[in-house]
Amino acid sequence: MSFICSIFSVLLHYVVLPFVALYILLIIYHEYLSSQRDIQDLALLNQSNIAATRKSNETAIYRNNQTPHGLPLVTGLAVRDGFKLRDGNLRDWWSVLIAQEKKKESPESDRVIVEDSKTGTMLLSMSQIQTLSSQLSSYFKGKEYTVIGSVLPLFSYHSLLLSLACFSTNGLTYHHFIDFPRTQPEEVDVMVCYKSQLTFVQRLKYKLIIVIDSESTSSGIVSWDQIISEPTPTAFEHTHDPKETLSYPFRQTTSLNATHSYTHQNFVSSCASMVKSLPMAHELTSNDTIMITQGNDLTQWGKFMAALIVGGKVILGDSDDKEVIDSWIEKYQPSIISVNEKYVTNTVNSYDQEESKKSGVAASFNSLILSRAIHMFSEGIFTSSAQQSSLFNSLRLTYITHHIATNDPASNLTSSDLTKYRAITSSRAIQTTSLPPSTGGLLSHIFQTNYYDYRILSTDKLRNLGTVTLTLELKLRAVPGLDIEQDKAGEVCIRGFVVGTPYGEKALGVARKDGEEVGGEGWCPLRGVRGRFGIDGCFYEG
Amino acid sequence: MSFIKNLIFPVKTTDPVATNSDCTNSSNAAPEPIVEGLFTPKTLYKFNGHDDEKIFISVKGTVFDCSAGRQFYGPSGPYSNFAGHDASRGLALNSFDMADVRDWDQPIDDLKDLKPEESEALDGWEEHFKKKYPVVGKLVPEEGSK
Repeated sequence: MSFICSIFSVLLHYVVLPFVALYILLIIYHEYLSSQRDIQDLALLNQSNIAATRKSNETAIYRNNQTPHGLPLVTGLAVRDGFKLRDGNLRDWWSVLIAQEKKKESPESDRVIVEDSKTGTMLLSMSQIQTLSSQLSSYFKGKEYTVIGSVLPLFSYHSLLLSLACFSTNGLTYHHFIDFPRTQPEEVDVMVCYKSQLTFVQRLKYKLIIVIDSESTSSGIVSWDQIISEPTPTAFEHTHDPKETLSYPFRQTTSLNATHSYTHQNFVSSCASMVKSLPMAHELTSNDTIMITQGNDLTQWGKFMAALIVGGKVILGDSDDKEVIDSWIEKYQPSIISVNEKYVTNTVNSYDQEESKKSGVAASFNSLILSRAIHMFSEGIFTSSAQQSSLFNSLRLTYITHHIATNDPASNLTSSDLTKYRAITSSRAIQTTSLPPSTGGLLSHIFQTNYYDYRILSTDKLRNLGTVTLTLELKLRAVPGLDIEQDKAGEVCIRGFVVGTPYGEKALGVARKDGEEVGGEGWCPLRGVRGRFGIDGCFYEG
Repeated sequence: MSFIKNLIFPVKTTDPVATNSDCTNSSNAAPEPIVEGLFTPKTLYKFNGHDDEKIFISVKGTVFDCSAGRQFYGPSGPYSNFAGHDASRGLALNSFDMADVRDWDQPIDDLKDLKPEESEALDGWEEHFKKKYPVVGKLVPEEGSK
C-alpha cells in the first residue's frame, strides 16, 4: 500500500503538478497576449461595410468601415461656412496653410524639402512657396495664359511650384505630361522644360516656352529666372466661389496617352481621406515629417496635402534606390515614409544577407529576437524589440505603394516579408494599392490595409490589399473564369470622389459607355483589375 | 534551431479566403447580401429600417429603396408601418393603419377589390415613388404559396 502511495506521490510531484503549472502558465500567457493586442480578431474579420443587397452577377457594394452605407463618403475638407460644412477646394487648403504660417512666431525655413536631381536640395518655407507661386501665377494671368504644361517629374522643384501656382489661382490649369507629347496637345499655352528638352518642345507650337536652366531668351522663349525676378504681387486673397470646386486645376497625360482632368474636389477629398484614415492616437500631427519618394506618382498628392494641412513637413524625392532612400532617412529623420515595394524587398533582403554573414551566439540571439517579434506580430501585437538599425529610430509608419495588375517581380511582397519589415524597422506598414501610373485616372490609391493588420497569410499566392479608401465605394462584377457567387471573385468597379474625368469628348463617351455596362450611376469598371473578397471584407489579389 | 524557434515562438497564420476557414463558419460572419430583383414578403420584412438600416417598400409589386426617406418611413416616422412591407393597399386607401398593411406571413395582396378612385390614387403614389426612390426589385410570392 505504501509502495502505491509513494508512486502516486512521485507522479503527483513530478508529472501532474508540472503539467498543471504549465497549463496554467499557458492560459496566463494566452490572456496576456490577448490583452496586449492592438486590435481584436473580430475587428480584423469585419473590415468592410457591406451593403445588404446586391445585383445579380455582381457582389454587394463594399465600403470602408469608417464610411458605412447610409453615411456619405469623405468628400472634402468640411470647411465651416456659417452653420453648414462645405467640401472646400484647393484655394481653401492654400488659405489654411497661409493662415497657419502667419500665426507662427518663427516660421520654419524647411516646411517643404525637394531633393531634385537637377537643382539639388531645395529648402522652402511656406512664405517662399507662396511668393514664388504668386509670381508665376500673376505672370500667367497677366499674359492671359490659362493652361501651363510640363514634362518635369511631378514633384520636382519647378513642377511643384507650377502646380501650386495653378492650384492657388482661379482659371489656371497645370497639364502634366509623363512623356513628351508627340502630337500638338489641345489648349496648352505654355510649355516648361529644361534646356536639353528644348529641341523636342520646339517641334510643336506653344504660345510660350519657359526654359528652366537657361538665361537666354528669344522670340517665344523666356527663362524661368526672368519670370521669378518680376515684382512680388499682392498677398493671396480668397473668397469662396462654389463653381471653383468643380473646375479643373490639374490635368495629366500618361505614357499611354490617356488624359484625365482632376477637379478641386478630387484633390480635397484625397487629402481629407488621408487625414482621416489613420486611427485615433496615431493621427497625422504637426510633429510629423512625411518623406515621399515617388516623385512622379499622381496618387501621392493626398499625402503631400495632408502633411501640410496638419502643420507637418514634407520631403519630396524621386528614387527607388535603397541607398539613396536610406541616406535621406538618415539626413531628415522622417516619421512617415512613402516608398515602393522594391525598397521594402531590398530592406528585408539586405537584412537577411547581413545576418547570414554573422555566426556564433550573437547571430543566434538576433535570430531568436526576430522570431519572437514575428510571433508577436502574428498574434496582433506590435513590438519594436527586433529593430536592428538606429536609422529607423524616428520612423513610425511606412506607406508601401503597390500598383495593381503589374508584372513587376518586386510586387511579390508576401505577408511574411511585410511582417519582417515591420519587425526590423520597428514601423507600422500600410500597403496602398493604386492603378499603374501609365493608366492614370485616379487621384488616390484604391485600397489600403489596416494600420493594425499584421496578419500572416497561410499562402503566398494571395495578397491582401485591404479595404477600399474612404472616398470610394467598390463592387466586383462577374467575368469569365471567376466565380462571383461562391468566391466573390470578379473585376473591380469603383465610384467616388477621386476619380478623374477623361479629357475630350471621345474619351468621355467611351467612359460613359463603359460605366453604363456596369449599371451607370457613376460606376467605373477597372478593366483587368481582378481579385476576390475574403470573409474579412478585404480584397485579395491573386 | 528552426524547430526550437517554431516551438517557442509559433507563427499564427490565417486564410480569410478559404471556404472552410473558421471565420466562414463563425456565427459572427456577416449575412450574405440579398440579390436585388426578387423579394418575398418574408425577405422584404427585414428591410424595415430597424432590423436592417435600409428601408424597402413595395408598391404594386415593385420594391423601392426608400432609405433616403428615413424621416417618413424609418422607425418612429409617421409611415413606419410601410417599411419592409407591401404598402399598396395603405397608399390606395390613404391609410397608415396596420390593418391595411399585410404582414410578412400573409399572401401578397392582389388588390382586386380596390375601387377605381383608390386604384387611381395608388397609381399616383407609384409614379411618385418611381420619381423619388430607386427600384431594387420585384415582390414575388413565397415559393410554394399561392
